[in-house]
Amino acid sequence: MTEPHHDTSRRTVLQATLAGGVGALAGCLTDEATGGDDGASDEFTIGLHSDPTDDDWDAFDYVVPYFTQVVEPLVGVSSDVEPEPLLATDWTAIDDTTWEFDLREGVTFHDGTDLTAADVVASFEATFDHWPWVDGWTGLDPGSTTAVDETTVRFETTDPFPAFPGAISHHYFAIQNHDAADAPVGTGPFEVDTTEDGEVRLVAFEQYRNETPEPSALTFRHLEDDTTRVLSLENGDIDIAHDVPKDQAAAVDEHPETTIQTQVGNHAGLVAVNLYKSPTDDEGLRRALNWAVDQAELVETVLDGIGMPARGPFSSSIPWSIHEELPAYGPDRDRARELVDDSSYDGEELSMLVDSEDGDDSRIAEVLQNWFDEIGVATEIVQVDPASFYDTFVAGEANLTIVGFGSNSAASDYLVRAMFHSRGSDNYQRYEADGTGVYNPGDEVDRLIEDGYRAETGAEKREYYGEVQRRVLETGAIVPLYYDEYVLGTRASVSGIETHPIDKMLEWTELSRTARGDDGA
Amino acid sequence: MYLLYRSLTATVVLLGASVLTFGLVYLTPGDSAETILIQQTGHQPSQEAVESFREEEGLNEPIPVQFVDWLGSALQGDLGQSYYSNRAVTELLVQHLPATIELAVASMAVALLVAIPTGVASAVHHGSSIDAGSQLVALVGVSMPNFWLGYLLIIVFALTLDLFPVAGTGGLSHLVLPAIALGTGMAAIVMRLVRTSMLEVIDREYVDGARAKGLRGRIVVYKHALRNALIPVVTVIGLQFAFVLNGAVVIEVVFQRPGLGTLLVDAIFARDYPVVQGVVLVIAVLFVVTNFLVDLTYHYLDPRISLGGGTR
Repeated sequence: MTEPHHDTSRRTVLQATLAGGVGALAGCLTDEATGGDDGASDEFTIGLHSDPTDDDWDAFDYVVPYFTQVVEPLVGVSSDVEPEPLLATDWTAIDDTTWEFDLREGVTFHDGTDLTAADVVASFEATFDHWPWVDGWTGLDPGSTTAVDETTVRFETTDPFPAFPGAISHHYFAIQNHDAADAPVGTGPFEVDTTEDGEVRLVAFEQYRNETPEPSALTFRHLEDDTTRVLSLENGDIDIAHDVPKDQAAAVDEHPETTIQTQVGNHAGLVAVNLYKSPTDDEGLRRALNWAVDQAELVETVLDGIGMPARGPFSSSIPWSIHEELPAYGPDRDRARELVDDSSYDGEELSMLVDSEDGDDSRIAEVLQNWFDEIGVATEIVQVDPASFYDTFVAGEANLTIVGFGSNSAASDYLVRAMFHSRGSDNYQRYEADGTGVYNPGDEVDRLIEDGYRAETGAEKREYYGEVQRRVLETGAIVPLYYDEYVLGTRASVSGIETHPIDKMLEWTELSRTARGDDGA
Repeated sequence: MYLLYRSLTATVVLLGASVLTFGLVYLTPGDSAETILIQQTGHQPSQEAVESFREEEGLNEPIPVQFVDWLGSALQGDLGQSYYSNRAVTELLVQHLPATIELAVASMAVALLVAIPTGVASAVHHGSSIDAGSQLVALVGVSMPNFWLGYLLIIVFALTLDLFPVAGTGGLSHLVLPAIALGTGMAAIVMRLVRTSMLEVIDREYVDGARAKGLRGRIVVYKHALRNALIPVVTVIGLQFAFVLNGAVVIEVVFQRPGLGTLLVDAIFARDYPVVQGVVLVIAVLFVVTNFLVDLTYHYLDPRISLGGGTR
């Protein structure tokens, strides 16, 4: 009779202990799991698709300068994507190839030392050392940057390059104190507090331009998975989610505690048409493909209405883009069918190359395949892993390649050169091998690009690069698709994000938060 | 002798794995030297630059010579340098391995804690509603993609109940949901196996004998029947370790855990061959070691299986 009693007793004790343990654990976990969201704190957490401690940025001690505002370049980028003073207050072209930049006075690094011209020279040399190809962007060779005095830096470009100030507004040219033991020690409004794999916490730099910026702290967290990033926002684990997937944007906006902001960026999606591979070497067929595509429908269906239907290869936010002046092809599939009939196309299958990791591009490829099928052109979608994608594209293996390009600086000259010049990076391999390329229309366009590169004024540059855009469309070297619009998700209580056409240049110094209950959430 | 034999076979398996791992570079399409330079510099390299890189990295040597050099360095803990980050591969492995081991162990614990009692109950109550219910749960568990279960767990336990964080690493709270997401599939498989195995032994004479001696039902089931039923289960658990490591690749992305899975995927997309080789080799070692330990466990479960070879 005693055994059942003991048995029951043990079970009861065990159950009670388990229940208590689970309760205690849940209590502890709840405390740990709950963030400080929607309280009075002026600390903010931003979830990024990309890793703010990416391994490729060892030149910046693995704190990525994009988004973080720890380091600053000499030249900033205005909201209309023009160069503007940042660490340099002024710059002058001494002659065709010599530039002098005056540094802002009274700027200190996060470790308290003064910014000098020697720091600028050291930073540029470190960049050339780490990313040797940037000399192609800037027209600078290693050793061509010198300190004239404490506050003046001189640059000698290899060729005349009037857009030089804009070219060095890229984060690659952000200035660090390379004498500091632990880089990155920059001059930006936020300094590094802690870093760990995938996460960096910053605090306000109290001596920033002689005043303490707001907010007091920012944490950038790598949340690669799109759904997880959105769920983290909805849960309040993060305050801002960068790059919300377009198909989830409406749900984020409709959620009572979150909202979205969108901004047209300077990134354009397009189909690069191989001018030198049969059957797309036929201009009539290329023009037919253009007549078949309905950019507005593509944006509405595949991109959930977020983005701009494109007319040209460069986003309307790039100053010399002539989007507004470019004619739209159609859509007119009857006209497209006529062009196909008149062309030398005889039913071969066109290969359409897509990056297998890009979901939007894969869906776009399927829609294009249907439209091309309607005009009697057969296509085969070839999905390639991201590591092989660019190699396959520049090797000229496909008839059609869905690509997207944008610029992270105030001078997008390198884009037009990379894409349409015969010696640009996209065409160089085939051009060197057999004098062809991929989607470079030829000598005349090469000359226009070179003239645009050397143009002294914005109007002149627009004229040359505008003509490039017209020629590229007329010859059907591309099929324009969309200008990207990026989506930021935020907690409803968060305000003050200054969007920018270059998303990596978002400003955080106006961020503020309405305390819980004040925002109606 | 048995230990020596198992050690030898484990070494041979590891050697084979190292050959395959090393061969990855040569099995992938394209010129590896050219691809690496594009990754490093962002533009098409000149033929001279490609040649110079091949020379510097020893890629012009005969493949067997390259393999011996690579293996010799690997045995000394030098798995080379990441092409992408310039960090030592060993450093990257040391940085990422703990998160994966933590997740693998936790998910296996979840799987066993769920699978063994449920499988036993299902067998003991064979044909009852308990059995049918657990079979249904096992079917759902094994059919459900783990990333989808991960999202489901986040929505219920992080968003709705606010009990756990959505993602990241830190304390125990960050481990619970990924461990459940990863362990559920394995729990379902192990549970079905425990049930089947238990059904085979539960009517054996020695179990009837134990009952006849008047032992309590629980002791008969757990001490006499389960112990014998566990031998095939343990084998499967060892093999399931590979499943856990595979699943970790997806679960680490969903829950943003910086483990070997994310390191491997990033390295594959960046064609960072030294890192890919390092991670694959570590996974192979973990798999072989786990199965070696499983072999040792047989002896504990059934003393008739002798570590010296044969049975007694």
